[in-house]
Amino acid sequence: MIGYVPGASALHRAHPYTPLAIATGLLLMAFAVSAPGAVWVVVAAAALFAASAGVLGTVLRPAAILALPTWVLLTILHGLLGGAPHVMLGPVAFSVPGGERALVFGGRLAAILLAFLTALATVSPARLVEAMTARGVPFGRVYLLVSTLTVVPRLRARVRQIVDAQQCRGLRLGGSPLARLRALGPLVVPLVLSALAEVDEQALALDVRGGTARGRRTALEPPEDSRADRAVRLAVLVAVVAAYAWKFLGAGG
Amino acid sequence: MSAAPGRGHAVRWEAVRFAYDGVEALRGVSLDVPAGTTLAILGPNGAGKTTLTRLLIGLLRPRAGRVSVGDWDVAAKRPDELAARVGYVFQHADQQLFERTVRRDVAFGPQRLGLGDGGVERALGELGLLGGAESHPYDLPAPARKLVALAGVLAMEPGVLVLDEPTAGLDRAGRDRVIAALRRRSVDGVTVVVVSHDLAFVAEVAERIVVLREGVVVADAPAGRLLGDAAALAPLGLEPPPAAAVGAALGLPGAPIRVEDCAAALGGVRWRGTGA
Repeated sequence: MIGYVPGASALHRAHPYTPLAIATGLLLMAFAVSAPGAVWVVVAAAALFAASAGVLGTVLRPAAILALPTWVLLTILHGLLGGAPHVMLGPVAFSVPGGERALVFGGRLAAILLAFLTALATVSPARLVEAMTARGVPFGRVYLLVSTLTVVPRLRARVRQIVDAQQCRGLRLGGSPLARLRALGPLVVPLVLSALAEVDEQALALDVRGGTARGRRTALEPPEDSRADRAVRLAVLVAVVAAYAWKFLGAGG
Repeated sequence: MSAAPGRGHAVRWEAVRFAYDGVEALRGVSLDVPAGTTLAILGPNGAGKTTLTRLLIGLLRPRAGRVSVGDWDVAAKRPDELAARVGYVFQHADQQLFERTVRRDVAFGPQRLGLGDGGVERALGELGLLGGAESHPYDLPAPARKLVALAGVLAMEPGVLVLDEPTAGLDRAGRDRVIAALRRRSVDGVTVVVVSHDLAFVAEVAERIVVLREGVVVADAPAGRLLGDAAALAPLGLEPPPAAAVGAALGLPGAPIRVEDCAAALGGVRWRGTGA
C-alpha cells in the first residue's frame, strides 16, 4: 500500500510517537461518537491531519481503494435490511436508520484508514526504531513492528522486479482471464520463495549481529521529544477521555 | 518474432532523455551499436547505466528521443514482445526463478517464444548446470541460481543480450563460464550490452566501452584503447584491469588487457582459463 514518504512538515519532524498518538486518538474518537455527522467530523479531522503533513494526495487513493468495497457492501446491507422508516429509491425501499448506520460504520473506517495511512507516511521507520530503543523497548518487539510497517513497500518493490523479469522472459500479463490466471504462477511463486529465503537470511544476520542479545540497547540518535510533542499527545489523551466521558454520561451524539 | 534466433540486431539510442520524479537520469544520450558488437557500459552508481538498458526492453519509456532494436521502435512494443529480440539478465535475476526444476525454469522463456529445447540444453551445458538440472532452483546456492537465471535468458537465443552486473557474487569458475558463453555469443553475431563495475570482466568480453556520468556519455572508445590507458581512465574515476596494469608495468608489447593476452605476451606462460 504505502510506506514512509519523506517530507519536512511538522509531523515529519515530530517525535515518532506523536503522529502515532494522533492516529490512535482519531481512531478512538471515531468510536466515541455515534451520530453520522459527528463521525464525519472525525473523518474531516483525519483528512486535515493528512493535509497538514502534505500527504493527503498520497493517502487518499489507497484509503479509497480499501474503503470503497466495504462502503458499498455496508450501504446495500443496511439500506435493504434495516428497519423502518423507509424511503423509496425507484422500486427499492431503502431503510433510513440502516443508511445512517452505514454512514457511521463507513465514516469510522474512513477515519481509521486516513489516520493510520498518514501515520505510516509520516513516521520514518528508522526514527521509530531509535525512539523505541531509547525508551527501552525490547529489540524483538521493535523489529516486529518495523518489519510490519515496511513489509508492504518492500513486497511491492520485489513484485515489480519479478514482473519486469518475467515479462523479459516473454510472460504476457494481459489477455483472457485464463491467461491472467496462468501468469500468476511465475509471479507469485518466486515472490513467496524469495521472501522465505530472505527471512531465513535475515534471521541469521540478526542472530550474528546480536539481535537476540539480552540487555538494554543503545540508541545512537534518539529523536527529540520536545515539550510541544508531549503537549500534543497530552491534548489527544484529554480529548479522547473527554469524548468517552461525554459518551458514557449519556450526552454524546 | 521476425528475427532468426541468435542473429544480432543493431541497437540505437537517439537523443534519449529520461527522468525519475523530475530528476534527470539520462540527458540526451545517443549511441549506435552495430549488430554483433559487445558493448560495456561503465560509470559510477546513479550514472544512468541501468536506466539506459531498461529503455531497451521497454520497461521504461523515454521522455524524449527514440530507442530501436533492429527495425523495431521499442516504443511500439511491449516487454514480452521485445523478449523475442532482447534477452535481459537482471542484477538480482535469481529472484525470478519459480519452476520445480532448473531445466524447467530455463525452458520457460524458450517455451513462451515457441522455441525448441536445443537452446535450453546448450545454455545448461555452457554454464555447468547439467548436473543439477533436475534440482529445485532454491536448493542451489545464490550464485548458482544467478547462473540458472542467466541460462534462462541465453536459452531464448536473443539477438541482443543485455546483462546488468552479470558477475556480481559469482566465483571464479562461474565467472569464467559467463565469459566463455558471452564470447561464443559474440562469435555467433549476437549484440551484447554489459553493465558492470568489474573491469577485469569487461576487459575479457567487451570490444567497445561507453562511460556514463550523470546521464551523459563522457567516453566512448574501443576497449583495448581505453582500458590500456591509465591516463585516460583516471579522470573517469576508473583504474586499468589487473592484466592491463601488469602489461603496462612490464612494458609488454601490444598493451594487452586480457589475462591470456598478457600471459601470451610474457611468453612461455601457459594460460589455463576461459576459451571462446
